[in-house]
Amino acid sequence: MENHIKVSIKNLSLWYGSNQALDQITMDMPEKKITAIIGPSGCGKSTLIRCLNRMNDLIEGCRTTGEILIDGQNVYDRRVDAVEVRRRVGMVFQKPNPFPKSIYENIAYGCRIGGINTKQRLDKIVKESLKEAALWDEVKDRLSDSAMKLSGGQQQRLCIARTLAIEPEVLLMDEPCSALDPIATAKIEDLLRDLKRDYTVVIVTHNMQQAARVSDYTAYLYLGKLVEFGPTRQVFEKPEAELTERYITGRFG
Amino acid sequence: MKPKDALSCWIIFLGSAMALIGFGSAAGSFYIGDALLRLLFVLLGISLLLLLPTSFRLAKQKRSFCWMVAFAAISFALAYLVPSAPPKVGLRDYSIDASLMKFMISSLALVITGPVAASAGFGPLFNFTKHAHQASAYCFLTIAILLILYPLGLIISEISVNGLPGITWEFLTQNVSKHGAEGGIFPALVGTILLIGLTALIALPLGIGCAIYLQEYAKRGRLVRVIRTAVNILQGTPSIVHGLFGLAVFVPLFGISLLSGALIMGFLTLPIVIRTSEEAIRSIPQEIREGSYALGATQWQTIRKVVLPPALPGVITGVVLGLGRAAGETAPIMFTAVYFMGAGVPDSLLDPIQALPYHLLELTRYWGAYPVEQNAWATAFLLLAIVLGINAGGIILRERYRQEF
Repeated sequence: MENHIKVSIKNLSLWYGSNQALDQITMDMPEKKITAIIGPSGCGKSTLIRCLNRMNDLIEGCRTTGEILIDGQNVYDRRVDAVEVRRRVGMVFQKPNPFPKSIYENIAYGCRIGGINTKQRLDKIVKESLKEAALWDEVKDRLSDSAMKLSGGQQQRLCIARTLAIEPEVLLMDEPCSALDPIATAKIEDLLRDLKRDYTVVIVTHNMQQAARVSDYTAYLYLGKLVEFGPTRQVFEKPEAELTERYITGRFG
Repeated sequence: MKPKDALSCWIIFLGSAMALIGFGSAAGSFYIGDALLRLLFVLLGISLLLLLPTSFRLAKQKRSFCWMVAFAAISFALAYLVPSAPPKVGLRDYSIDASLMKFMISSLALVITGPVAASAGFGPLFNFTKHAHQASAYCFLTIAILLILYPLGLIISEISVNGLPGITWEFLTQNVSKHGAEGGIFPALVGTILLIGLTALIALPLGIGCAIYLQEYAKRGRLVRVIRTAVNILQGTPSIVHGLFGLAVFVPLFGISLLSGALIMGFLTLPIVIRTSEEAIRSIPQEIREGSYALGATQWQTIRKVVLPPALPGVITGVVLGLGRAAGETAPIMFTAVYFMGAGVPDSLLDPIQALPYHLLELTRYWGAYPVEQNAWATAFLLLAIVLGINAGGIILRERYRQEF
């Protein structure tokens, strides 16, 4: 049975100044599945994922056309507030970027700015988010320590926990493992499989094995165009486009 | 290290030691007298001249020869051209100034020529290696640091030695009398503290606000460039011009008053606050801001909770630098806020005040006519103590905020 479509991208194009980065992209991402976006450097993977929570709004000279529907609502609608979009669509970045605050405050931050201020509720959210991000056991005794003292892998899981704390519907991950070693990467991949139960995940990755391991659907992007999109198995085993096959088999890119 | 390297290092060390001897003797000339200093320089020059023929014969290199000649020439020049201390003028002798100047000139020359001459002059003789160059660079940098610290130490020690005996309870708590020759400086002390406080109140919100606007809100373009240039020009404006501006604009409105002075001081302090705050805000990585936006924070929430806290140490440094400068300024307030005597402790913002820097200026004016020396030194000491105190306070604040993370 076909899954409910959570995120639907329709004819999305994007320009940085006069430079076109995305060209007429149309794809549907099913709910509670992991969709991987792969492709060579500079093909627009990060740009595409940053469109989903309107992070590109922060870049001067950036212009988009087309629609992105989340549960049928266009996030680029004039009446939609980008701040609200970002509370529904969480994002984890390539480089771990914890705030220079304590571990506790890093996670409580999103709740505080959302208006949750009671200590009891914050304590509960912090604990649950850290457990969900598989970090609780490692940091439970030092929640008031600076987040900057954690290792890179721990920092990245903290950033995931921080994002989960605001209870987003969609979780975007922009090459979340590229700055991490294989052990930290494996931990995050395990985590992704757990997160799939509750969240719709979109992950950008350079690592094709990672895409094959964790994702349910895969999109291959090349020079700002969507070349192929389908179930991961099909894309990796029987790609339709020759370009995809050449990339996946390592003859190109 | 090869033996040859060790040798060359020793030679560099010797060159630097010669420079240091020059440095020390120049510094000490105030105490040991000019004759001895000259002797040292002459000895230095002669020893180098003795080395010249060997150097020339062995090295057969023009460059090293030139360096040796230059070094010797500078030594002789220092021995005879640097003016000796002027005689004592009035009640206080000014030889300290001459000695300081001589020290600055001669040590600067020796510091630069010493290691370079030793390195370039002896280098070809002994086939210098990178270790030797490393050693000479190290010597040069160390001496440069000493050179900076020395005048600071000299100023502080001189003012402390002369000023401390004048700091008494009466001096701190009594009013000025007999043209400053007797009595104390209580109104000036209070006036300066009030002036700094009010200046901080004016410059802080405006300066930090301006820095946040320029860094976070303004789009990069012509307007921002114009504003930055304007800030730079404001910083470069001579303080006396600020004073005249205050006389023309604020005095007609508020009279010669604490408020006029603080407004002008605020303008003087603003550029420093803006620039250092901007620097501090700019140093916060963009990724951290993005992390905050991605959690659904508005721009103001991001600035207030994520950007400003880690930028605070830098902002505090800027504010302290600015206030430290304001505390010692005389020109901006002399037409706008202060009287030498009779202003007393102000009752309101619109009352005139007395201030330490201006008090000091007036006291030096009466130097010789009235016995004001002790009070002048004590005033200078107090002013220095306040400025250094503000800086120390800034450092403590900065470290406290930094310790959190």
